[in-house]
Parts: sequence; C-alpha cells; structure tokens
Amino acid sequence: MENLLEIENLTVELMSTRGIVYALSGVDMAIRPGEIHGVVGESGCGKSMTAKSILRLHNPQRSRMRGSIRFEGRELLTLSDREMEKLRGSAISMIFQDPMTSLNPLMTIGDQIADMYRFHAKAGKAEAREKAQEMLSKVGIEPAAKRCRQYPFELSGGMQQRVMIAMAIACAPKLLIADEPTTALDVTIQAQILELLQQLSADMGMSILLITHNFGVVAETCDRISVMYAGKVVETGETRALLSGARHPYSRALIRSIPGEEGRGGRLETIPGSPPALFEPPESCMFAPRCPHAGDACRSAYPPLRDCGGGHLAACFKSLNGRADQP
Amino acid sequence: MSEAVIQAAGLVKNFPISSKKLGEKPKLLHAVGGVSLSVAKGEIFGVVGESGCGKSTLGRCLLRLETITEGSVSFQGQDITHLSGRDLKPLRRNMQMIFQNPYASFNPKQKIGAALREVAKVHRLPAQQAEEKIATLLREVNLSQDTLNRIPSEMSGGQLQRLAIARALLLDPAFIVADEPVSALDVSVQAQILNLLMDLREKFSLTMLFISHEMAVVRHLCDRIAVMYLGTVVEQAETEELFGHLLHPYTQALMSAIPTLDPDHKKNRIVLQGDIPSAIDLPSGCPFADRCARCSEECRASRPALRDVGRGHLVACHKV
Repeated sequence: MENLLEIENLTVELMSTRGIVYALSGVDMAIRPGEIHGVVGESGCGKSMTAKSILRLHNPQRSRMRGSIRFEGRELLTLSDREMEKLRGSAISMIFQDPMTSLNPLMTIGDQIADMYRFHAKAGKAEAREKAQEMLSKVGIEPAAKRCRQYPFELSGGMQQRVMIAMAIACAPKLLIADEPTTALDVTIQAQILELLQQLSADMGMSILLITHNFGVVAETCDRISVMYAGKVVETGETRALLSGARHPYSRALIRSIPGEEGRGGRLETIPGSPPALFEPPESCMFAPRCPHAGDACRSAYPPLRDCGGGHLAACFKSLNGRADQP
Repeated sequence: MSEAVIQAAGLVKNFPISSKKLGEKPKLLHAVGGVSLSVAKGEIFGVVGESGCGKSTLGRCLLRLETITEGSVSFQGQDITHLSGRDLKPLRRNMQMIFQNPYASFNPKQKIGAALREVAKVHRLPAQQAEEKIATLLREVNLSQDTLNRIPSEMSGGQLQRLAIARALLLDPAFIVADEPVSALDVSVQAQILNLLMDLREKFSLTMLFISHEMAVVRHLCDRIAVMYLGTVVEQAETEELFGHLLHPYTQALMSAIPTLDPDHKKNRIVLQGDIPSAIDLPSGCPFADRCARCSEECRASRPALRDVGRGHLVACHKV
C-alpha cells in the first residue's frame, strides 16, 4: 500500500540559550491512507516536535530541519512558504491539546470556522456560513444554527474540542494531526471525542496521527503505534502486536508501569534513571543507560529500526521476544 | 474498624458567585453538597471523580483551608468546624497537603533546604532535630543529601514531588490530603511515586485522603474509595468490593470510559452523552439523571440518598 505520509531520518535542531537541542535525531515514520496512527512517549520525547515538523511550524531562524517528509509523494521540507500555507488546514490540519487557547475568544465559533473555510476554499460568505453549520452538526454540536453564534467561553471543554475538530475537517483533509486532543478532558468526555475521531476517520477516509502519552487511548483507537524515546522512534507496529509483545525494552517497561488490573498494593515496574538531556547528538542507543539488557554494542552504536517480522519494527540490538508480561 | 482520624458529617460547601446585576442576590455554586465520610487511622481513602465534582474542595474543607457552609468536621475527636486562624495553627502541624503541580508547590528562588527548614521553623521544631529528620526523609524518598542546595528548576517533576512528600511528612502529620499527586507526571515517574507512597505508608502508617481522577491509580493504592459526582458521593465501598460490584450507573460508565490496554475493551464501552451539569443550578432530582440510561420519573423527582446495600457498600441510586 502506498503511504500517505513518509518521514525519513528527520532531524530537528533547535537553538536555545543553553546551546543546540537535538530535539529529533532521525525519526522514521510512515502513515497509511485511512489509518489512525498513534504516537506515544513521555514528555520531551519528541512527539509534538514531529507533528509540528510535518506542518513546518518551527521558527526557521531558531531551528534546523534535515531529512525528508513526503506527503503524497511531495517533499514538504523544500516546499515554498506559500505552498506550505495552502497545505496547512486544507490537506493536512491539526488540533491541539487545549481547545480554549486555540480558539479566538472574541469571535463566534461559526465565524471562526467560516473564516478558515473562506481562506482555503475561496468561498463566499454565505456558503462559508452554511459550511460552518454543516460541520458543527457533523461533530455533534446541535442545534448548529444557534451554536454558530456562540462564543468559545459559552461552551464546555469537550464542546470546544469538537469545534476545533469541525474547523480542522472543514476542508476534508487527508491527514489530521491530533496532538493530545483529549488530555485536558475528563474520561467520559474523552471517550466521546475518541469515538468521534474514529467515526470521522472511517466516514471520510482520513488518516489521523494521534499523539498521546496515554497507552490506553492508543490501544482503543489506533490501528498502528509508534513509540518514541529521546527524539527517535524506537518501535512501530500493529496495535495488538505491539501491546501484547513489545520488542523494545523501553516500550515494554512503559507498558508495565501502568497501574492495571493486577489489583491493589502490587509493585509497579519503574524505569531507573531519567531520560537524557538532548544537548548532544546521540551516538549510541539513548536508552542504554537505563536498559537492563544493554550490552557493549548498545553503548557504541545506535541500533537502526529493523523489521522483526510482520511489519513490526524495533530499534534495538537485543530486541526482545515473547510476551510482554514475561520478564 | 479502628478510630477515625477525620470525620465529616453532612459537609456542605457553597461558593457565592458575584452577580452581574446590581442588587441581585448572588447565586451559589454548590461545590460539595452533603458529604459524610470518615477516614480510619492507617487508611488510604480514595476520592475519584471528574473535574468539577468537588473532590478537591472536599479535601480542602477537611483540612479547614475553607470555611464550611454546613455540616461538621472533626479531627481526632475534636470538632474543628468553626475554629478560626489561631486555633487552627496547632492542627495544621498534624494535617498536611500534597498538591498536583510540584513546580508550583516550591518557591522557585528558594533552595530546597530552606524550603524544608522553613516548615520546621514555623512549627518550632528544634533545629538539630529538624536537620536529622530532613536527612532521614531524604533517604526515605530516595534523594541525595546535596539536593538541599539546589533550587526547584534544577529538579525534575518526579524529584520535586518526592520533596513535596518529604516536606509533608516532616512534622509527622496524623492526616495527609494528597490532591492529584501523580496527575502531572509521566507514567514511568507516576509508577515511582506510587511505589514510594506504598512504602512510606507501611513505614509511617500514613492516614491519607487520596484525590484523583484516575480510577486505576486509586484502585492500586487505596483501601476504600468514594466516587463523587456533582458534589455528592454516589458510591462508596472498599476497593475490592467496589471494583467487584460496580453498582451506580455513573461509576459503571466512568469505568468503561477509561481506555485500557485491551483493544477489545471498547466494544462494551458505555459512552455517556452530554456534559456534567452546572453546579450553580443543581437539578432537583438525582444529579446524574440527565446522562443516565436507566433514569425514570422517580430519579428526576427526588434525590436518592446514600444507603448501605450490604458489605459496607454505599450507593446513591433509586435503581439499585
């Protein structure tokens, strides 16, 4: 199957007051048409950085990007700013964690959606207004005609996130990037939003890149998962295969540190140490200092992503076998 | 059951909302609407619920960080409902709180050592004794002694949360309220803190009210759990009993809404419609009625009381 989006060896370096931060150091990722692809990892691992890179949202003066991002075969990193602008919000759109800060507090939600649509579809005012209503009812905000005239503060967090989604899908994008879309929401509302995203993906044949730190969210929503650590993808695979048989020691440890059904009082597995500061480019496996399986090879070279069968990729010299619940 | 450290009876907390019109009577936000509970010595009592359900306000009321509108709170047998400033100070020493955001819990310009010593100083702990105690606690929370010379921005969130725990334990409090202590942390760090709390609880036989919005965390740590919705407890039981028999429709929906690692789980998911109603204009009947699939006339007409259905399992629902 032809991939919709292919990221190859993407590196992003950011200038900070304390020197260069190697935010991404060789990310490889592929998103298929119509799939929901989850990206999981802890804070600072580069999940959001990857998402922002796809839309080229970094300040060009303070950052350097290398590698390749191909969307429908087109290289995005060399696209002109003008062409990139056309792409953002139409073919690729994005929703963020906190809907309240993403919406303009002084504009009605109907106007905000219509505005965006007029820019991309070159539509007239009346048409755009109709589109805004249509989109609001599509994401379950009823009665749409009345809701169009409301301001963001009149809506709850879940409803605001629905507005963001309505705006993002108004131009029927091929790829929706959702950066922690439910992290600020309560679980019962989270369930509603995830269900909505899945239904939209199926109806519109839209791919979703779902970024989250919550393994439970990806388990129930995504077709495939990429696990990131310290600016790299360490493992990619089908949701089921990865959750039941993670190959990379980091993914496995992360899955096991989640309090689950095992009941009360049991000890949770923890990962010793803390993630590395990203002030130096990686020369060896970034996880090696915290890894119980690390050997000499791990400390001298970076393991590439290798296929362990069935499209399950892991970047580990010692890639583990067997079920995740066994040591 | 052993003696109760803290006890609340019919606790009500309303906040006045400033009115928009001159002369209009201010409306009330009903944050906590009649909660009765008691936490026994050595027990970790969990309170779960979604945002705005009143769980944090409940915790703050028990510590008397808020004035209390109605009902009573007693601590170690003493009624503390109406105590004011100076009379509360000796109690403060025995009641501590751990907050959600460790970065906001420390003065960013103050060295960690100074932050810990300040607690001892305020409560007149002899300096020598305080130093010893701080050294012991740092070992207990697995931090090195040179941490004392650092400032908060040099520490990670997990390390700071350990310090917040150490600071709370410094005065050997009889009761601790932990308000979402692991919610701001990554899962692997969260696991470290939960393990730490379990260790400390055995060593110091802690009595704690543990507030969280995460069922899995509460289930892992707590002995008894109360589920709150819109200011009231809708279900309360011992942990095994609660998760063995989820009775209230809200608890059932809340549990099923939590994403799990099992990809098949969502097939039986109950997705609740709508949002939590406003705590300003409370519905007269069951607060959950509007979102409940089993709701009937009775539910809209009268508010169900919390009653015991056996095995110490309390539930507030007409349909159970």
